[in-house]
Amino acid sequence: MSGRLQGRVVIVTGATKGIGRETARLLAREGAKVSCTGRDLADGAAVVAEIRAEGGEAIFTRHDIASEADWRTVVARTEADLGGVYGVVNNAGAFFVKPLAETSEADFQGIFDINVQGAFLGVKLGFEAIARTGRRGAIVMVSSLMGQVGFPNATAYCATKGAVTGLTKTAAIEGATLTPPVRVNSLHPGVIWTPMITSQFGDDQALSDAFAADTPLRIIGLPRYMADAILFLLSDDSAHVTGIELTVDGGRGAD
Amino acid sequence: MEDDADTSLPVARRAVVVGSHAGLANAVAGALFAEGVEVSRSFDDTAGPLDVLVFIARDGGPTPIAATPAPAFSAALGGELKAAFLALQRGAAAMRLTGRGGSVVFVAPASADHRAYDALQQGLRLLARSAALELGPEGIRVNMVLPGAGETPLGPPCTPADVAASVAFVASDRAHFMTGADLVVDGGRMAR
Repeated sequence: MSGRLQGRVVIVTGATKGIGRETARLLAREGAKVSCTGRDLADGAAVVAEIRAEGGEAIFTRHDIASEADWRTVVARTEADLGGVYGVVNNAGAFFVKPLAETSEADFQGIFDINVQGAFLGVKLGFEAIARTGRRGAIVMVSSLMGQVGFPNATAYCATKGAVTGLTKTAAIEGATLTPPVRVNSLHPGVIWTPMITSQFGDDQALSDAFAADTPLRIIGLPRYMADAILFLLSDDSAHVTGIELTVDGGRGAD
Repeated sequence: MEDDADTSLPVARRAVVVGSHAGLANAVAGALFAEGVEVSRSFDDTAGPLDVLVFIARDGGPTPIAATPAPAFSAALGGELKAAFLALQRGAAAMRLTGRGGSVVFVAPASADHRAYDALQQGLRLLARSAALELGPEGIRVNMVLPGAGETPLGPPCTPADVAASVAFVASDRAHFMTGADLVVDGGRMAR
């Protein structure tokens, strides 16, 4: 069977958990060769094993996304082991909740280094890597509903995701002028039940139910839903889609 | 016995594609059909449960604003909004019969120089968002697909096939958590 990304090489950052892990697995099922990156070696080995068990092709590289040297290592290893890069999913990110008054300069700088500098490097090195193939490519930025609307006690996080929105649109405009072009779009998930959320708010059913009740579709967001949207934005189904904000939030942002 | 066998078959999904833009409607119907969806081109051809409704709005109208008589504006925009509203009401009622929710997609193509038409696009957009909030608890999703017009930063104008691929995504379970949202298919025009 030929998948929607058959034979194409895609780098997925933050592929060890949550949305990234589900995305890496779905892309592999759709025929992509997936270069998974993250900070945890054991989790990285586990996701690669899952993909290989399903007949897919994947590698894992340890990756601090705020480090340009790490990015260069990831790209070089991807090109050597899997081939020229078609796409990048800039998924890895940091999140914390803290009232504005308690958010220190170090907190603020730290989350910017990861969420904004990491995203910037992902686009910059993604453009370089895709250009080496001589073919078109696609980049997906995993932003957040919180890059579109405010959220209490998440000043720093919302600011980083707002920055990613501007980065995405500008990169899309520049990417369209490249020969061949590179598409760049941002995905804006609502509340998705992942370690990023449970580590801050707690991992209990009552909380999950409360988030669902507060969502027009009355369901909790699952990583699989985001993986489907990321697959769409990478695939030829969206060949004419670039520079957009795709909100997939169960209707939260429509209120 | 035959009844027992039937229960194990996948449920065929059913769609109605209505609207005034024949080229787009044909492409959308083709894309849905390719995904195994039964497609009707009017509510008259179908009765009973429905999974997908696609309403395609006209892609032009009175222009320019200063030279448009109020009755022409009212007829063009009011008529189209009312058609979308009626399709939405009818579609949602048929989706309730499935017991598994459904997906409504409004397609409002941009029109390069029909400025009065922009009001229709935004009217449809807010109708979709309001309907998403109202129908969400029943699992009925309502979204917009907004095709661009003319040359784009990516190059040539987007084709009906480009738009249809996006509509097929929003209509499908691949967009299970997407409602009240916009999907712009314009090669980067609106990013500028």
